[in-house]
Amino acid sequence: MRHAASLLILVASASPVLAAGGTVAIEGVVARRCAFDTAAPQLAPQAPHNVRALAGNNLQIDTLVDPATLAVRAANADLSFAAMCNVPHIVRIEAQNNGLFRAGAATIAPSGFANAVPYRARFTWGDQTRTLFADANTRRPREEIIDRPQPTGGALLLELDIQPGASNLTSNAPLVAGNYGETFRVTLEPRQ
Amino acid sequence: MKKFLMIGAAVASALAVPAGAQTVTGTINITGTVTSKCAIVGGGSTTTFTDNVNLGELAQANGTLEASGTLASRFVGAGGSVPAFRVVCNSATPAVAVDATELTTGGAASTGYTNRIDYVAHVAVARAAGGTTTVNNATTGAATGATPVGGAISGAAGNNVTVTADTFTTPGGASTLLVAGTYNGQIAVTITPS
Repeated sequence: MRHAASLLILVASASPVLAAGGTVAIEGVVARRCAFDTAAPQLAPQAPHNVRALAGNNLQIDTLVDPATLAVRAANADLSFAAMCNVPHIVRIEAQNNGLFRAGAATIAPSGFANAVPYRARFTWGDQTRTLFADANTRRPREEIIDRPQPTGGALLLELDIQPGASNLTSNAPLVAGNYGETFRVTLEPRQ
Repeated sequence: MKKFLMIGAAVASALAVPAGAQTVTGTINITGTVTSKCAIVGGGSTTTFTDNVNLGELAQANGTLEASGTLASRFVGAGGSVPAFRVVCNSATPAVAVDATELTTGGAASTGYTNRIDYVAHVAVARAAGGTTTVNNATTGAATGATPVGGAISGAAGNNVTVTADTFTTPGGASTLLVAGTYNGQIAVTITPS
């Protein structure tokens, strides 16, 4: 009888030892990140005006001047980048030239002729909009910044507008023959 | 066992260190081209200009050709002003060609008479840099081919191409009698961007 009682005690005292416990910690991280879905912009569904093509990153204007007057012909296009930033961030929009300038236009245009084309570029990201008025008076970089305090994703929209007769001289001034261009750089950078 | 779990957690922490903030840049190039061209501004056509000059009576009372100076004056004043046009060329090296044809009634003239009046046409083009370049053509010779203006044509407002004529003569000399009739001639001016 005494033996039987001792055995019961042993069994009862052995039970906590068999039930082992522990903790497994699981962690992960999402990097602070901004990204474009595609490297090249897309033309927005609304039809552009006087635009020949968007090939990769190159938007080609169809007929830059009116053949009858040699003054600038109107053109516009809406482009969009699919993009996202998962942290507060800054969108930096840089226009390289402050206008569509003639390639190699270091020389002064002949009297009465223009050699650069002003434009308006409107950028929309989230609920914020910035407009860059490139007056083409001097060839220099221009910059606009959108400061976003929250993560944002969707279409970063660029609306480009060239008015008829626009020039860096007088309205409707004839444009010197040549190749004209401007480059935009759109940078998404997480805030520090 | 506890020691093993602690090591595992340490490895997981090392992997979870946030990556550096990533900046991305997209680029858009906008391009357009303006080809070299010339256009008539302010006329009924962008490619041709036209004017008519009526010199009136071409002969003197004695039947010979009116004095050349008189006809030259009538040419620039016949329409109230000298024939002038506004041409815009956006190239640096435009050229002008002139082909003047004599005034004539057509057909053959009787012996001792003539139905042909020659002259020299002048086309003066204002340059953007200032001054003018004049290209001439005599009806007695071949057309004057494309002649460089020597710089861009003035792009300033107003006419920049002016046409005049002088040195009116008849074959056979000043004593040659002119056949009665209506005389017609033409000065063709071609301006090319280069």
